Amino acid sequence: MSKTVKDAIETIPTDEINSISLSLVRSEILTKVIEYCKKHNSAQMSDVDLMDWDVEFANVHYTTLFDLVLSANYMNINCLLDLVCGKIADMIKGKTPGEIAKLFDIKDVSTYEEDN
Amino acid sequence: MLSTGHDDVISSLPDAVLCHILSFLETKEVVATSVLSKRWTRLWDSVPLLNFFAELSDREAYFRFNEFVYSVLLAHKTSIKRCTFDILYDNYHLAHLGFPNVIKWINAVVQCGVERLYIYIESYDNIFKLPISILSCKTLVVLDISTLTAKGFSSVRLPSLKILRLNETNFLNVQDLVLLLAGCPILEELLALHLEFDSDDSLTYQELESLSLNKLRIANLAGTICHFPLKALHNVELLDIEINKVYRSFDDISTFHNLTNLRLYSNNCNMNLLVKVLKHCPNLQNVELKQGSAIGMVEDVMENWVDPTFVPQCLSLQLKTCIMRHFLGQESEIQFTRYILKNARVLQTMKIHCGEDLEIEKELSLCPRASSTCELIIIQ
Repeated sequence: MSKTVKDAIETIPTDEINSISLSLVRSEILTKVIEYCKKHNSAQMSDVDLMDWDVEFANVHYTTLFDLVLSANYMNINCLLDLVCGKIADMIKGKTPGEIAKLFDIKDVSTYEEDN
Repeated sequence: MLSTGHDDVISSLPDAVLCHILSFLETKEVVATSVLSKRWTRLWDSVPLLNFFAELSDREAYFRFNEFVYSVLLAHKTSIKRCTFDILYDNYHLAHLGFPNVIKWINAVVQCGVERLYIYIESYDNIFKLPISILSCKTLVVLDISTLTAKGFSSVRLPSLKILRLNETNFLNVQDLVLLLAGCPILEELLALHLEFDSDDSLTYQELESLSLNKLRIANLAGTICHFPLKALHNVELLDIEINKVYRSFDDISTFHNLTNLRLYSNNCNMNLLVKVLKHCPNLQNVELKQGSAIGMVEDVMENWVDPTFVPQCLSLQLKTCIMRHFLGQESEIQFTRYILKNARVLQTMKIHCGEDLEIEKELSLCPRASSTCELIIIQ
């Protein structure tokens, strides 16, 4: 599922692999990523159940979501990336710039008028 | 205004990731984020996806929307990978005003090398014509259009198109539809729902034989009543199609070697014809028959069932499920069901949907079954 890991496995000769370096991913986040990959690789759940599971999985504080986004991006896991980006987009949808700034603690909100 | 110590986390995400997040939003909302901070200002016009949604019922809304779309298209810096226009013109006058603008927008997007294009434009009278520029777009991979008229084109070159979805599209005649499809050599999925044709001209034998879509795997022609060149569908795996009196003789159609799932819509339940169809589908596993076509009419038919002298290969070896909807309980239908039950050796499910007052359960459950694991389900 992770293209980064797949590429690493394919380029390094198998006898020399002891560990693949994922230095940019913190251990708590890596645990969550592994949980996601395991769930999506097992054939046990129906599509509908898997969707429900995904919704639950992504129902975390936005700082965790951002960590997940960065990890999914770094490890090249497209379905996880889409899930988390979609969730963040949902948080942005329907909000005014002021509300978005407040939600994500963006402090550099410009003061010129919105144009649309 | 600025607090230099804190760097909010979301703004520190890399450009590509932020753009990916923005790509899930309507363009209107993407543009709104440009005021969040300087960081965001330079992002919005790099999002390679554009989604324009609008319901326009008054002039003010119409002008604002027009201005918005033009300004986005002009400002856009990168190539546009995907673009959606989902516009309802709730006013006859506005539709006519808006139409030339829509053409310009679509032309602009086509020039930007768009790969996936979705056009849903609704207006009271179906005046929106498909801009011809789309039909020679080398980069197009997905084209999904609804309620447009496709007329006045003479050459089609869509070398990258894999998915074509047409909904309620109006053509001059079947020849034009064939011309369109002939320009899509690597097409894999075709949806052609409720197409309408101005004239009933039928295709010549040459025209019927010439169209070949070798990569086509999925075809759904529900609601489209015409003499479609079946030879073009010879490699499909999944097929939804209207069976009507036009396909009278099934002896000269090609065999559908890869077809595993077939859904037939029929207006006059010619059950003998159905058996002939099965003969041409040696690997069919699932078949579904809907009486009364996708348009919803059912014609009264008197027909005599004749016991076929052959058993189609799919019945002996492959057919697992058979579903019949809007079962009327006519004699030929019952005989057909009996024939299937008697000959389908690996059948697992025979499901029949019919009206509440029809009493067929007893009669059908007594029919001899070739498959010992076959379950007969009657849903009323």
